[in-house]
Amino acid sequence: MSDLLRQAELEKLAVTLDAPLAELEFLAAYEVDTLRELRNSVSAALFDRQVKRFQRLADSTKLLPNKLVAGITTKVIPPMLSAQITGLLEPDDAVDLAQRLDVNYLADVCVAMDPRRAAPVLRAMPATTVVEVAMEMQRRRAFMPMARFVDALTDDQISAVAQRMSAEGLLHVGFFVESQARLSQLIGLLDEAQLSATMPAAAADQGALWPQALSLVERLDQTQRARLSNVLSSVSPEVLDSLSKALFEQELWRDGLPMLEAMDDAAQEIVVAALASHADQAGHPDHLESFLQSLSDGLQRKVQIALGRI
Amino acid sequence: MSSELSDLQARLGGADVTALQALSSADLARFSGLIEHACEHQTETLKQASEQALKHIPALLRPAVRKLLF
Repeated sequence: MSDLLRQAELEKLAVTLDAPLAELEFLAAYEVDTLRELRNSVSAALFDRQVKRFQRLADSTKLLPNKLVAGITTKVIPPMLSAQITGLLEPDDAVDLAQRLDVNYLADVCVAMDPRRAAPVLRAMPATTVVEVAMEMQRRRAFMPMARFVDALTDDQISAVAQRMSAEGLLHVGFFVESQARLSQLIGLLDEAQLSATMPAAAADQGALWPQALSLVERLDQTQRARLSNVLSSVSPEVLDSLSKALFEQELWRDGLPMLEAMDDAAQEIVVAALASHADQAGHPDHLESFLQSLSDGLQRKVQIALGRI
Repeated sequence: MSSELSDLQARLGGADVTALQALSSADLARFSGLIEHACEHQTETLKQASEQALKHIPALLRPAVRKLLF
């Protein structure tokens, strides 16, 4: 799991440095937190050394009508540069400008932006604009940049975006969200139908997104963890089979424990029975015994019952 | 602190770089080089964009905007 997060951090650092990912190989052994701090330091250093010039560019936009500024921006200002300037604009001006710019350009800007520096501007954006740009970013599968906006946007904006996002997109974005508290709030904004769609999305494409789903569940607060974990009580046998395969064949069972422990009794019985049956039938005795030993006494007993050992 | 690590710290505006002490001198120098490249790219992009933007400004306003930008 930490390998996925580490890879994500390395990708973000490569984007910040405008360098190929392969050139950061020498940092691959570092912890996620260290890489994140490093990226923040690089981003701050790049911004600080040009901040006066960025401010002058932002100020120059006040000399001209926004219609003209929007035209010039689209033609000659690279999105990477607009991303640095956005946070220095007056929020009202930024909103007016954003509505005159093409959604593709705005998505390019958002991919390059550090949302922490532009929070007042971003929070002033109408939800319709935010949703339009978010859908373009989702279409491009720019999930990692999208996740960085979760901290900066308002609940209303996040909720509007979440209503339109695919379950697959939510899993990807949720995986990359840095703040655990904000991630719990994001999941709390989802309705039951949206929650129910997440687990089948994790199981689709041969269970490719179980690592993301399990990591997401692990980082939630107790309430949201239980809410999302209980979804598994009503999924199809195919989804449970896919989860079992992921846990035992990709050796993710340790990552699945927080989810199992968070479920209510009814959900636990259904899921544990499916996992035990899969491990037993698929011939993974070693995995099964390790799995059993890692469980709490209560869960261990439920698995033993499901296996017919008690 | 090695000179390579000091150099990296200076490029990062004095940020705490103790976590990078385990990197070899060559890797520290490589990282400094990547930051230098990013800075150069940023400066060049900013300069080009400013020059190009000026071409779209009405002639009467151009001197005032140039004064602001450069």
